[in-house]
Amino acid sequence: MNFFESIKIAAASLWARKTRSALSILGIVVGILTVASLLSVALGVKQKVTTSIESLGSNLVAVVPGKIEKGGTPNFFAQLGASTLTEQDYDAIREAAPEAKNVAMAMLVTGTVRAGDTSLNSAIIFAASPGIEQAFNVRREEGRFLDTVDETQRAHTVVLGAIAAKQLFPAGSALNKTIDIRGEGFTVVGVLEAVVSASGFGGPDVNSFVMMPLRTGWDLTGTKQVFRIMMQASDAESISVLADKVKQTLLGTHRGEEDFSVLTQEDLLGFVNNIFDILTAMLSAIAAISLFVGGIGIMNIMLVSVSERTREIGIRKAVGATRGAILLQFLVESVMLTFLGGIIAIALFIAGIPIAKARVPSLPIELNVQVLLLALGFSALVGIIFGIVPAYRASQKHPIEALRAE
Amino acid sequence: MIRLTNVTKRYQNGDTEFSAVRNVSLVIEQGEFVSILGSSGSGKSTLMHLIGGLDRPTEGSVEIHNKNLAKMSDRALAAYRNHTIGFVFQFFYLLPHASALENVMLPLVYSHRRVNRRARAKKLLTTLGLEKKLSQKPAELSGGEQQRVAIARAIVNVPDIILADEPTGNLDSKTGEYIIEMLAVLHRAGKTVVVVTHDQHLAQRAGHIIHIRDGQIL
Repeated sequence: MNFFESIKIAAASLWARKTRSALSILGIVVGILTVASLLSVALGVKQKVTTSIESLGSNLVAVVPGKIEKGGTPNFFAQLGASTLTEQDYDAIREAAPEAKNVAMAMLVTGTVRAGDTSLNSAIIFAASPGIEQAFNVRREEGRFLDTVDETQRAHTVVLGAIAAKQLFPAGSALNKTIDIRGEGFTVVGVLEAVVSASGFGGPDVNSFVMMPLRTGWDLTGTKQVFRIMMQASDAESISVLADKVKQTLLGTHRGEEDFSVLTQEDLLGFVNNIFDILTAMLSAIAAISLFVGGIGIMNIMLVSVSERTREIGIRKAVGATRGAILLQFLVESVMLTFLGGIIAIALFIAGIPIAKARVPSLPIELNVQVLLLALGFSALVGIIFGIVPAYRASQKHPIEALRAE
Repeated sequence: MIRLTNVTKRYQNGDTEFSAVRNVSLVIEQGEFVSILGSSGSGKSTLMHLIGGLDRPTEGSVEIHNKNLAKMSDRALAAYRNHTIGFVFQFFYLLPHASALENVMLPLVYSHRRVNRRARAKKLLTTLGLEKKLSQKPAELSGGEQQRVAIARAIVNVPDIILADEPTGNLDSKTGEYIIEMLAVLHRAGKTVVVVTHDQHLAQRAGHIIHIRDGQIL
């Protein structure tokens, strides 16, 4: 008996027990649907974050306080507390690496932003030296960027991110309006274009920015904190050279103590990949449990089927079926059940994507051929794993005892 | 030729052991029509199972065409059942979800012989007067029709030996007579036919009657 023959027999057998077959694949449909959905969402989120990091700015090199081990997951706690970076570091970098473009330093200012009766708690008050906009690769919607005049005059001027501007001034343009930060008045001189957020991965959420000159920030807080030094390499090839030069320079200013990290976009993408590897592993584990439950259902139904069809097994053996032929027949039945479940699940998944996107527009779920093939492969694998024991039992039945079975 | 030499078949049932067949030796020549006659529990069915390769002897040898079944692998034994033996059972043993035609084709599914299965099965069923029942399921057929389907299945792969276990046991006398006549036809066509029965009348139709009691040949 060849494989094609087994498929024909299995199909006929499953068709003869239509209702039971349909019910038994429900578990697999749910399992495969879970696998496809979770992996697609994980890949979608990863894609989104990767895109946002890539949009941070081309050839970006960032210095952050605290030591972050590359190749692992980022230790965000390393960046908490008082910054280890200083203005001297900034000056040292400018001197040692004149080829670095748009070198800028920045700090965070805590406080609430108000515009009349509207207050904004989610704003990121960012004090930065000129050049930060270019380093972040952001564009103006209206007005101007902060410049050296603002910086030297310690001006009370701000540039707002797109979301911050809209939240503070929902009725119209924010330009030339006055806002209040920590009791002091600031004039809005520019509004940024909305960008894809890269918050959480070394990149700030530019949309929520309320950006003031660095020295104004120092005055406002009474401290001279520097929590980021950003710059751009002249081209992609010189990123690592610049990063290394910056690192060596700062080791000099920090007396050999590496209490800072020089990050490139590649490093950030590496962090993202590591985080998503963990996330994918977790989601895979959840999906595996779901598939396991479905698989147990298949195993159960196949064991019942073998038990009910003992006489059929006896008849087949009496007319010349080998153990291998019986094993193959029941294994093919099991795989056919789960594979069919996989196909139904994928059809439902594909049909469900537009519905899910319509209901939750921000859901980053994408149709990914690799995920679909993986899901189909898993469905077949579940059929083999959970079908092998019933199939083996069937194949081992003694022909006479099988024939005498009721 | 079928040759059994000092064949014993013992079964273990918990702590107790019993011998269904005890030290049996017999020879059945090719083309003979033999009936094995015995009461219920006499060991006649076990004897048939041993000849048919459905079971192996505990002791002794079962040789068919000079090949010892006891020494055959499971795979070789399956091939032997497929090519050399055609079984006809008292309870027909047809696949309930398969049509008459599919039931007759079944041995050919497990055969390496390249034949037009459907055509051969259809021809046989037509010969046996079942041309209008090809797509019927066993439950839709009468007992006599089911047994005719079983006979067609037994001979579809052109075996040398037909083994029938109480082939008329589940049929009325008229239908039983018809089935006996079909077995006689197969015998006349050169097949070795071994019928296991407790029916004296059926046994008389064979040229050679072997009496069995308590697992031993009398």
